[in-house]
Amino acid sequence: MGNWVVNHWFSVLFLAVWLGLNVFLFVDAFLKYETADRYYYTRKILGSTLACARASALCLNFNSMLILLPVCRSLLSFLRGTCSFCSRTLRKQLDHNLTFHKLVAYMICLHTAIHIIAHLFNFDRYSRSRQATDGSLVSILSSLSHDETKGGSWLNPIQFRNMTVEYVTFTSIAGLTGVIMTIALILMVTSATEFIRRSYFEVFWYTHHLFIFYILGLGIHGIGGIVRGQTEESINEGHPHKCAEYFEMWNNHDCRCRRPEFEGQPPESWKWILAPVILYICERILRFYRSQQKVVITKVVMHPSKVLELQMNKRGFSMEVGQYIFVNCPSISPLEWHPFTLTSAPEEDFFSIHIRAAGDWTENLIRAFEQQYSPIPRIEVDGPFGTASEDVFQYEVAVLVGAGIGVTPFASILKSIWYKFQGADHNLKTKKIYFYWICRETGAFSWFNDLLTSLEKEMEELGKVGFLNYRLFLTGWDSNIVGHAALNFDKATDILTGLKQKTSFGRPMWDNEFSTIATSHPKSVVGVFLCGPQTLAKSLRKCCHRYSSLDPRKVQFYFNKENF
Amino acid sequence: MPRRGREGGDRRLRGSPAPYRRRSPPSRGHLGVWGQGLGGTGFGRERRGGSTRLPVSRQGPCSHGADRVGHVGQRAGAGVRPEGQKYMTSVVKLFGPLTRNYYVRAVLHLLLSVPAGFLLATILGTACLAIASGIYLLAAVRGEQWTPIEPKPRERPQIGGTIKQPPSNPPPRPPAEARKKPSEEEEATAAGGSPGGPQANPIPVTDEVV
Repeated sequence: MGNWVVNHWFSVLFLAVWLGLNVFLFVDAFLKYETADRYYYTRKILGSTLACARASALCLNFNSMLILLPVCRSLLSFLRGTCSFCSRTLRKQLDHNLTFHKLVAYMICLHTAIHIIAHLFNFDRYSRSRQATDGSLVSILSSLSHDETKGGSWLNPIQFRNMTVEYVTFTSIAGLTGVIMTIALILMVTSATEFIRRSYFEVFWYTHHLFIFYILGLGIHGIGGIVRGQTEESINEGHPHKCAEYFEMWNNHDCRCRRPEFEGQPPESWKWILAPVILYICERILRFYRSQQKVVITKVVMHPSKVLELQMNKRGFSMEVGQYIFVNCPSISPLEWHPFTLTSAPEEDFFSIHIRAAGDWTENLIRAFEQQYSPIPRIEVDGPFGTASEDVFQYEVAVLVGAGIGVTPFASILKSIWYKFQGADHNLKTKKIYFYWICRETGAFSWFNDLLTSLEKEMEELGKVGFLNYRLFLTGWDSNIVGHAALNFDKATDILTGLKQKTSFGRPMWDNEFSTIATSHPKSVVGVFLCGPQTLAKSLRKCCHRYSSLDPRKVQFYFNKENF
Repeated sequence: MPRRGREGGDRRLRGSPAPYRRRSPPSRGHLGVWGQGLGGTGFGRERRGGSTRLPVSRQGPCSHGADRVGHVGQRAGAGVRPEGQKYMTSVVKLFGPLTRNYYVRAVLHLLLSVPAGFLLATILGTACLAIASGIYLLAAVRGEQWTPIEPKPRERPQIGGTIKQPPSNPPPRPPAEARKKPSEEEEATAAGGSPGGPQANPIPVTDEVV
């Protein structure tokens, strides 16, 4: 428990602040509308649902402001760069931007539900009071005229007795934009479920662009000024607490109380969302501008098991280890951008990605590059964007775990180490790297084998055999493979990979690994980096908590998961 | 590792291409003119042949072409499947063509959306059901239909099945023709599926001629 707190205190604090602000705004607005004199007469017709609707509206404004910010990738990269002096914990928070985006979305859904239900009550009550003929306060209030010459000081938006609520909903700006926004929200949220995102990403991506309607609708939702409160002068002339009882005599000239005058509230949503919308527009323009820059493909390599490597060049492109880029191929699909981790090191004069065929877009891309006699398709690149792998060299001891295709960010890191050693950069803070590569079969990663072989050789040459400690785990083994391995036991190199390090079969026993690392580095801060499935993340996180000592001077394991 | 073959759920059968799993093994590096590149560095070397003959298998729901997992669109129904649909599947299967056909579903959703349209409070329900009806109609026009996902019976290797029996008669062994009958029966029952032939070797023996 103590370890969990140490690792997550910033997230908890951040979420607590966000929730606290939501609660505060809700309660504050609720009390304001429930007790203010301005809305005395409005409350006579509507009751508490006025305050409910307005409170949830304020929370909606607040959350709509927040929801665009976590998806501004360039902004986050910028913050990451400028905050290099900040502690690791603060920068790690930026990795969780999508989680925050989802939380804010859920809060928006909740408040939308409250807002809609409250306004349904409101419309119903307005409708009833319009139709009331008993001369009560509410009917008098409702009959206040909509005539523009008298300043339009009406209260009840339902003008005529035979106007149905459905009619008002679809003809008033607030009602119509409300319906459009809600349908857009429903479609966005339902298409963003994990199942659809993973299986039909294009559906998710294109449907999510309905947010444009949401934002536009939000901006003009309040223009009609349907929420009415009494004007200042009207309150001064006749305070509702005094005059409300004498409503029958408002028309008499000798009564001190006149008919109250009402005015609508100006729309305030646009004030909340203006800045994030501008930031987001800048972000999209930046992405578009970056994508228009020419990308020169210098080399195309087709590896076995349908892995395509693309080496490219782009003017002004500079990257760090483990970053990713978004790639678009207009000839395949003009609007789809897919992220790929860079597999080249920053020291190289090109940047490369490895693409594996699993999905429509990637298969089409590989097929397009396989055509030997047609011109190479044009590629657009946006990025690079930073992730946790940038922090690998900040740790004295780094534990890198790559599962399956998750090994690609580590390709970049290991290559960078190779270059650093070649260039005799001995200022590396990192003193030891433990690399675990877990995959079902190695056929798809033969390209990675090359890298490991070169690294092995180099470490031997430089006499730094202890620096890189890697183990390969083959989880998809059968008796044939084990038989082979058993027969070739005394060979110096592994039969499957050709590496000096023998392949282990099955999954690693993390407890053993972590305890070994903890005992060999008792006073260090160990960074654990994972690129792989959730289940593995869970077990690694548990091990990190278990083997970090509570004393901050002793061994500490920090867990970083790639953002997938 | 995440479990494969989850139960239940909607899977849309598309008329056209088979998933890539069933294609023939990929051809090896056929780079042609591009293979030379512009002076490749150490890591850009093309592979001329597969290093192993292991079958290409999917790595579970987390492996995609883009290594930014969870992003690239996969084939319909491949990989992640919604959980907890086992009982629904058995119920929906009961009605046969009535629930399998997406035209029927589209009409059903359209009819269901009508009553909700009369009251303002439920009008969002109308809108959602109408959109769902439209989606089913689009799917039906494209020739999709509902197929229940059965849990694939996982083949548990028999505990004793992989233990291969060593040859029951010591060398020198007689040629196949003079093979004793009792030992043949013994081997056949004990090994239970080891490849037939005069001599069943426990480990595939290859003639290693360097």
